[in-house]
Amino acid sequence: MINSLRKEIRYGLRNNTFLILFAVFFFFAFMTPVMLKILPEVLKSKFPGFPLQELVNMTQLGCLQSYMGDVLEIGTLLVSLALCGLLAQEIRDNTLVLPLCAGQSYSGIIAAKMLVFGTAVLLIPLAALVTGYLYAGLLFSFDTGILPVITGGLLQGFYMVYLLSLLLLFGTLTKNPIATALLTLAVNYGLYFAGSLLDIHRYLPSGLLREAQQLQNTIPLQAAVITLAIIIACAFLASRTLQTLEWSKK
Amino acid sequence: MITVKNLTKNFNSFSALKGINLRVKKGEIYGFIGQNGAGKTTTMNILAGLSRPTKGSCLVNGKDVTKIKHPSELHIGYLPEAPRFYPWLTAFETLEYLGNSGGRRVAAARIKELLDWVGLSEAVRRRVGGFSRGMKQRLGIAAALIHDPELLIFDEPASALDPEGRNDVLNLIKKLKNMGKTIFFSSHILSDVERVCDTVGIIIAGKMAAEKPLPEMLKEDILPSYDITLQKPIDSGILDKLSQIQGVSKVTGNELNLSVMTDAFFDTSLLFKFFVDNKLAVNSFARRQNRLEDVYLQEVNTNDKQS
Repeated sequence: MINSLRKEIRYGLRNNTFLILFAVFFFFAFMTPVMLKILPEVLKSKFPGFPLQELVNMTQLGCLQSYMGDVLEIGTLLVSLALCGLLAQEIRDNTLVLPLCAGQSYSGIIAAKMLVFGTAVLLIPLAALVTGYLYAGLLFSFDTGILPVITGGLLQGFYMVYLLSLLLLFGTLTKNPIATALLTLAVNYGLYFAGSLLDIHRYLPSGLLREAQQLQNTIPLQAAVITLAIIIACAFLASRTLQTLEWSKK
Repeated sequence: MITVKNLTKNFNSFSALKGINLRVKKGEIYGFIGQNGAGKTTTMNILAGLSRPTKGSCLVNGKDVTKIKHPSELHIGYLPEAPRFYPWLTAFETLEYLGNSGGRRVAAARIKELLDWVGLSEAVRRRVGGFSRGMKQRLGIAAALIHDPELLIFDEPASALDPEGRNDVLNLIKKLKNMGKTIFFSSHILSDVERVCDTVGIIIAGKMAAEKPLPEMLKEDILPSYDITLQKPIDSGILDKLSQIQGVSKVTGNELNLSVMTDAFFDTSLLFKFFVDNKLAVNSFARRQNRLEDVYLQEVNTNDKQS
């Protein structure tokens, strides 16, 4: 297993996948407080008297909530695009043929990817949120506790792990990175809108993001358990699908 | 080591293999030849446990490929036609990753020894993405040998290489035989097969056309041909008369160099009599050494006529 983990870490480092994930989250974490800080100045000169203070929460909490919204809208898109080839590309390129012949297990391949990139997408959003918290605190004032921020970051990261499991499953089904990304995004946004429309976020993984955005140090248990079940199911199905694939080059 | 009976593989409505039979004995090099699209790679993939047959039985190392859950259960070394590696790993890291798979451990010294053996000792720390096709093929051979399997299955190991690279790969295959390995390899380069193989199987359009030890195949299966060089040029009328001799099936060549194909039990004195009667001086007369290419083309022609 250590062998497979090492290979995935090398993949992440040498193909800049970790760097891309890092850049995506930290870009938003740094840019959101800056934007909120300079927006009033920009609008003051262009639209004098514009009631921005009434429309936007110009506080540390407001910055972090705005950042969370950006992550849902654009962050998930970028994460999906960055990780869509993780398994789909390997299947398409037949790079798994030699490892399989050498004895790599199907479940080991999935588990290594889940562990390495799951850890990355769990910790990077957390680190970015904490950084954003500190930066927003410096630009505005520290009006929010650190604990809700850590909880929020972990919930957001957990949602990203769910996204990763979808990418792996759809990768085995489509064997095409772009199709994998599109399918994952369709499920991601589709479930979010369905959750909002039917008010069922508490039963969906999107409930994690909703709760994270509140920064209230509460854990949506139902959503967390359901998300964990989906992650396990996706990983299991990805492994089973991998096992049934025909590894012919035709 | 390999026993295949009535192996059939269908891709939707297309039948890639139509009930092939073959047998690979321990310690031999078996050359599996056929045109592009004849079914070589499909057979290889099934033998490597990477694809499932539609029908038939296939025993590899005593294991039924239809009953395995994982390709590694076959304990073979497999080299695909175009081995795909992770371009961001070095040659050493690639073998380390493959060698330490499936709960096995391979020492660094063994990896270095293998890389040295396939002629990649200078590229141990180089990333595979920068390797030439020939280097990748050698790395593929090293990868196939990483767990020291008894049986090696190589799909077109030398076909895409330049003459020097091909020569190197064929020499490696010969060395492997001397080490006691059994090698089943496919190719459409007949001279390669002729150079190293003990037994040859010919697959044409998904069917086995022939399977014999190479010397036997060269001895028995081809009709005799004679290469004749004349002292003076002859006209086409003489050529026509020559082809009318009983037992002569085909005459090709030009006014000085003739190639005469005959029936299996042709009496060569008829040819000499013809030359004497027509006052033709002959510089050289030799029965052509049969080549695998002739056997192969004969099988292809027979198949074409039948279909």
